[in-house]
Amino acid sequence: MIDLREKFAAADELTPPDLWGEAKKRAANQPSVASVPERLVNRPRHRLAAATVAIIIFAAAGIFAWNVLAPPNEKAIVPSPIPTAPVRPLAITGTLKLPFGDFGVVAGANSVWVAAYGHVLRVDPTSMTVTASIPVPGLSDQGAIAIGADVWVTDGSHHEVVAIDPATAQIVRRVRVPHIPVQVAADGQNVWVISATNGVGRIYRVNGATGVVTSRGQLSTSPRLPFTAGGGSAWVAEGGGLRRFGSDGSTATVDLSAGDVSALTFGDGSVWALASGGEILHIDPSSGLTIATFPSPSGIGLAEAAGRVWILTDTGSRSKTVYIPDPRHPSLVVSFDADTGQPVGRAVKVGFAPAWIAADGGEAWVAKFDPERLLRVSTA
Amino acid sequence: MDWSLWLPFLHARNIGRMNVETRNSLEDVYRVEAPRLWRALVLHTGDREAASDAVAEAFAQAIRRGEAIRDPAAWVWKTAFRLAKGMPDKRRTMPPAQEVGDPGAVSDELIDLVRALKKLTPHQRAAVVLHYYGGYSVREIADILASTASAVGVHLYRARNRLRRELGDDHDRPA
Repeated sequence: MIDLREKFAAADELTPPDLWGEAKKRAANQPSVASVPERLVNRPRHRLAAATVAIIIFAAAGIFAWNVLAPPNEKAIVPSPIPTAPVRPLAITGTLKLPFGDFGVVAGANSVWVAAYGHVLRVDPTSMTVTASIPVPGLSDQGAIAIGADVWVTDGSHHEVVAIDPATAQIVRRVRVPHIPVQVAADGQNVWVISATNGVGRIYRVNGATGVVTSRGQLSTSPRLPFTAGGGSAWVAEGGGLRRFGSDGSTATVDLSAGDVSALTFGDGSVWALASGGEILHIDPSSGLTIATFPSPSGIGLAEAAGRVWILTDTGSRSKTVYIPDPRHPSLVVSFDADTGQPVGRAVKVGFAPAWIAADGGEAWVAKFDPERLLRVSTA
Repeated sequence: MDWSLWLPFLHARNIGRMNVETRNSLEDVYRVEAPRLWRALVLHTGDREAASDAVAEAFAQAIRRGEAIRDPAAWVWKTAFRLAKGMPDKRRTMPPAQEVGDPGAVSDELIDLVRALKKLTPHQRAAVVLHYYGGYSVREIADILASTASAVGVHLYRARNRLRRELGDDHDRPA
């Protein structure tokens, strides 16, 4: 077997130039980045502006804390251990070989939509056949897909998000957004886009009907965070909690005691978060309160539809640093009742390298990348 | 495993974690990190000039930021790869030997490697170079590339399979 580390060691024969002098020259030709805000704050009018902004932030934080975080009366409800629905086995009831490498799946508008290299595929959920293939040349494996009133995908190479009319399977709008769009979520006509920059991620709200960017915000870290939209807001998992970006430009933070969130989705009027330690959180989008929690396996994908929560678990790896699928630990799909938290679908193995899950009605669809397959999972 | 082979790398990473308070200590980081960073960028971009530009600009920005950077080594790797991402890709028009060095001055192994890397997507190429040459873990690569660990895992898996096919080995697929 080839040792790739040894192969890459061949690069050591290259002799790098000395660029320290060039770096110092470039640094000297531009002002110190650290000193710029300091100079601005030292000006009296900027001091006044900074003080005003600080007062507004403190006031907003106080109001938010009073309204959202203070009333602890609505305690998290742990569901009763009595099953309310029979646990039936899940099964793979349909398989489609995808013509292009895939990297995202959503379900809605009577179809399943798959983001693939250079194409969006519309799949008939009953016959599991591709009914339309819409070329989006800039769609790459750093892209994302979402469904609201339209199907939206990111085209990072052209700095655009692209809207596809689900009825006609035609591109109806291209919206230019700053930086490199890498994530998208949609809630009716509200479309939220996260762009990657050289620093932290930026979030933009786009009016899906007009294509106008109506508000913008900033994440505290990487743009590749669990992300969803619903109830008029976008939700981002950040630092052990959630940040809500309202359609009016407001932001709020929701602390979660469950730790880091590995997946996030919106369904049936609620936010659903999968804590990396293995717990599902049912969150009220208007108050930010956790309505219920129930135990689950940890996973990489989460979907909710028609009163069922679906979880996709990760494939085990034979290596701690590199993903080498472990044949003894394939990925699973499991299903829970959204109201009671009781399992309603006994786990089904979905093989290796699945990465994305979507749900609609009483079924779920899993997209795998090696080999490229779309699986339909239903109750047997 | 012979852990002594990892000592230079571990040494480099430890230096990166030091709190750099003066330009002199940043110069130390440069002396340790820049050669590997530059070679990694040559593999990633296939262009010596682009690699040099990205390294010089990343360290220039680090100098300008001064003490605001807690981990200069990690910061310059992240910045240089992100700068390189915005540079034009010359791979389609340049033969491999010219991409990485003077014709006749580089080994066949290196030319084969660069030729195989050309067949990967930019994200796969960045992930595999950072992992197999830079020595970074999946989580660290995710941070450098502003991606998730699972996405990097996908890129590494696809890239490794493709590289092994291109370099003449196809024996590491799951049963």
